[in-house]
Amino acid sequence: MQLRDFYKDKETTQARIPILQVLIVLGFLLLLAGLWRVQILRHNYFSALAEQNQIRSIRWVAPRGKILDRYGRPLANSRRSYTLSVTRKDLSELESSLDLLTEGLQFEPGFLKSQIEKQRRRPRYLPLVLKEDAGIGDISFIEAHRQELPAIQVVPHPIRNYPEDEVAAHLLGYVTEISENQLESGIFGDTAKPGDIVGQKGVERVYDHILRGVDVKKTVRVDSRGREIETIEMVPPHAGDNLRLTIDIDIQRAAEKAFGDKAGAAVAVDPKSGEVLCLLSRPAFDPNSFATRISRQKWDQLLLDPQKPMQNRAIQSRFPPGSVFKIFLAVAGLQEGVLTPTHTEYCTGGTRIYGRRFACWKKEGHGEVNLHRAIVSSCNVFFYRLGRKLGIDKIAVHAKAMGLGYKTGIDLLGEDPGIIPSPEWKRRIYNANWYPGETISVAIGQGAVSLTPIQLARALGGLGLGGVYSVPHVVPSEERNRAGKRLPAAFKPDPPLEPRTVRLVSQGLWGVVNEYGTGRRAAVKGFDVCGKTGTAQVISREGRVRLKSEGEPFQDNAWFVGFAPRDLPEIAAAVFVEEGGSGGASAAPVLQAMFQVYFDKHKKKQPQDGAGSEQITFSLPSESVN
Amino acid sequence: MPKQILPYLKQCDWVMLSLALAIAAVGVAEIYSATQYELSESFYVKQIYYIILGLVALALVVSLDYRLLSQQVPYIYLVAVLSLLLVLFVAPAIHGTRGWIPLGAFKIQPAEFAKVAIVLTLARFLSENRTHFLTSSEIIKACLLAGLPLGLILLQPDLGSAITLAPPLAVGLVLGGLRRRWILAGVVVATLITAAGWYSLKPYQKERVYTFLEPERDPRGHGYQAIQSQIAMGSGGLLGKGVTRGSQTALGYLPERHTDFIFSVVGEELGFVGSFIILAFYFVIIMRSIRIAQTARDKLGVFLVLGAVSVLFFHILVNVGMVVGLAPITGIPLPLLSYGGSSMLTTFILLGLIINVGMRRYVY
Repeated sequence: MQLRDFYKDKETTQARIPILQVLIVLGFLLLLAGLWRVQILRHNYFSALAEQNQIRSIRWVAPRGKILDRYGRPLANSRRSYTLSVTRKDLSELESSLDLLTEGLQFEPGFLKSQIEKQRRRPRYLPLVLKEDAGIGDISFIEAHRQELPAIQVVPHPIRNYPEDEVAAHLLGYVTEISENQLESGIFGDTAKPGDIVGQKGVERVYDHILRGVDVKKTVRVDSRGREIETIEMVPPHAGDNLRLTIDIDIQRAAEKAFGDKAGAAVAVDPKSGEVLCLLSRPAFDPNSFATRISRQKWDQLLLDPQKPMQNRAIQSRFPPGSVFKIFLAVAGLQEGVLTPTHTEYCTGGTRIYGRRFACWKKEGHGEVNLHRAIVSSCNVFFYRLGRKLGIDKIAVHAKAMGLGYKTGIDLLGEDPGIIPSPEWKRRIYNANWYPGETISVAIGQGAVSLTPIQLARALGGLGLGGVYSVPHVVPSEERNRAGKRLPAAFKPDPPLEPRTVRLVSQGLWGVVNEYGTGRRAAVKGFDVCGKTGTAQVISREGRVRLKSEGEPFQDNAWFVGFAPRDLPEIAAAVFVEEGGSGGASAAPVLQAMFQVYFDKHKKKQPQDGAGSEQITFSLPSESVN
Repeated sequence: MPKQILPYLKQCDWVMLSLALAIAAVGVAEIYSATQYELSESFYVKQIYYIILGLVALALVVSLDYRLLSQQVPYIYLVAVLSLLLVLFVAPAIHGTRGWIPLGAFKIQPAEFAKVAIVLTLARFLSENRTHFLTSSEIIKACLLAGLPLGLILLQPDLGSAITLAPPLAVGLVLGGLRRRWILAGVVVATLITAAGWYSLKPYQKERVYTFLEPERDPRGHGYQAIQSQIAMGSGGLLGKGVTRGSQTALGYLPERHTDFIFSVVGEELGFVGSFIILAFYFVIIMRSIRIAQTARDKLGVFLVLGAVSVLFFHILVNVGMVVGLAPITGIPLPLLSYGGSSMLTTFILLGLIINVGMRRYVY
């Protein structure tokens, strides 16, 4: 009875147990399938992940190679600095010590939080930077609080340093972290990685592959807290190679000093080798300000400055050469035979050509002038008539034969080719006919003709040497070979300059500086400096009159180009001063300063050097006696 | 006296007990492996103590006839509810939840014992029903009995532990004679509650669900545990890396590796074969328990066993499911394997109840 009731009671229950059994079997099958999927099917995938899990790459930035002047004096080096950082994994550990850090590193309250927030989007494997360029006080604070701050890493991080500040800033360029665009375009090679410090502009950019080192790459096995357990692979750091330039810092400094605070450019080259001894552009920037993260505001300021401090005027800007161009007209005239040394013109302060009056700068006129006098006193009338005789095509041919209107091929980026105008050129660019009057303007370096300082320095040096134009370069050819950038050979125009042409023009240029000419302020005693002033009108004569009547101070752009000594020159230079007034007053002293330094260094000492070597032979026995 | 005990001992399910101890022993080995670089505590030694403690509890439970035990249900239930209340007021909050009562050197987790209390309470309540089908007042009463401790655990808040009280209720109701239409209604209501519950979940709980659906969306944050667990399991492969050789475990990538994620350690070090064997052991234990339920002498026995089975199975399903990435991350331990005294004690008590019923199947 009791038993029967019991079974009856249990009926529903017992009947439903199989449902539970089925559910349980299904549940276990599901788990088994899960195990199978993770452990068998995706075993390889997860094994790889497990391997990755434990491996971390550590990177220390290798110092860049130094940039040295031709005597090994530093123009750019690296300064030791330390970055305080923390890996992502240890971030949570850090949260409790934020107050301590803020106090110890003297941050504004809340700065650390915002700093961490800012870097959330950076790649995960890059550590969070808490402080760049940490001071010795910061580091000793961290070390003193190691117990509380185990996660903070003090990572050496060399910072680019330019000991001469703004000196040669455009030539050297600057460095920044590689941009995303640069990374994608691959211009820094396949090895460039996010976070790399690369050269921007100037030598830093062109020779980046030499200067940039190989970062320390350390692959370590770490535990989940990021503590290193063992080193798996270590690529030792390899500092970038040093790079010696052809620049002479003494000449560079002298030029910078003589330049004052005016805008413009100065280039000095060794015409035989093409080595650039000095290259400056004004106004300049301080490349040191890019070495640590430059603020947006500062960067905009540099870019938007109407004075364009980022522009390298020595190679990237072209200007009308003014009277400087008369040199090339004289060369063309002599080469073409339309001009002889005895030929004279009579200057009355102006002349009428093609029905229009062209004025000489000297209203009362120069009277009777031959070639030498025309160059020395820069007589416009003489060259107007020479220009008419030559015609624009011949002027262009001879100017181009001296490398004008082409890029010189200097090993810096962004060089401007300048313009040597011709009827063909005008048709191509403006789709307009050439007016004969334009030829007369070009004859004295006005109108469309415009040249870069580097072109003029090279042309003057090449002329002085008798018509051999070497390629200007800032890195000596042996270093260039190492960089795989072989120096192109100097170019000799065909037909070559006749020695008579060279002699006559050089003599004229010598006269400009050493006789009664406009360039007496370029003279260096004992160093036969040859040169020519140039004054280029920035705006039309009408505009100038208007400005003058309004009382605005206005000045022309000033040129001075030259070489020394007269025979077989060793240095050639071009100086351009924006709104410098007359070339003789503002540009010639800069050239003089450069040449004076060169002369003092290489010429004046020579007899002393000879005496010195004699002294050595004498001192040897006396030393052995000691 | 010994003569009276002997037949009972013969009826004791030694196979089940052996399997349980085997699993616990693997647990000790894996806890040793998982915590070998932790210098602060020797977890595996403690776990051995917990197992011994569990066996003592099991012996105590087994020695007392389950029918006598069920008479104490009102007191057991009262103690469980009171301790859950106590936890809400005195326990310190750890990671935003409070669930532990510190008691000298030990920490007691009342939610664990609530599971035992619920199994006993529901078994007694449902077995007293004399009709084929449950009346609606009985259903409501059963729900309230289970709902009170469940609600208290939710307040801790500990969603995972709270949910573990639902299976004994569901199994009890279905097997206790819930009409089919009610079962259907129950499924619908449960679905609705789940939907409604979603809106009352705390952000961290929602985040857990999100990352369950897509662990890679936050590999360093909430998805970290899920991914690391699967990496550990998956890298173990067929045969595993060997005990103490699991790199994921040793290097500390695996979170909660000796507690909630102990099965990942098993997977990494013993491989698919090892984890399969463990699962098989669990399966046998559960199937033998159901066999005991089918042959139990009375309704009380049936409900006790099936209640205990539902708790154990649910833990296994959710924990292993979480480890292999089939279930979201909840703080539910794996019975017998996970480190922890409260869980170990609860599991052995539940096993004790099952063995108890099995031993007294026949009237001597």
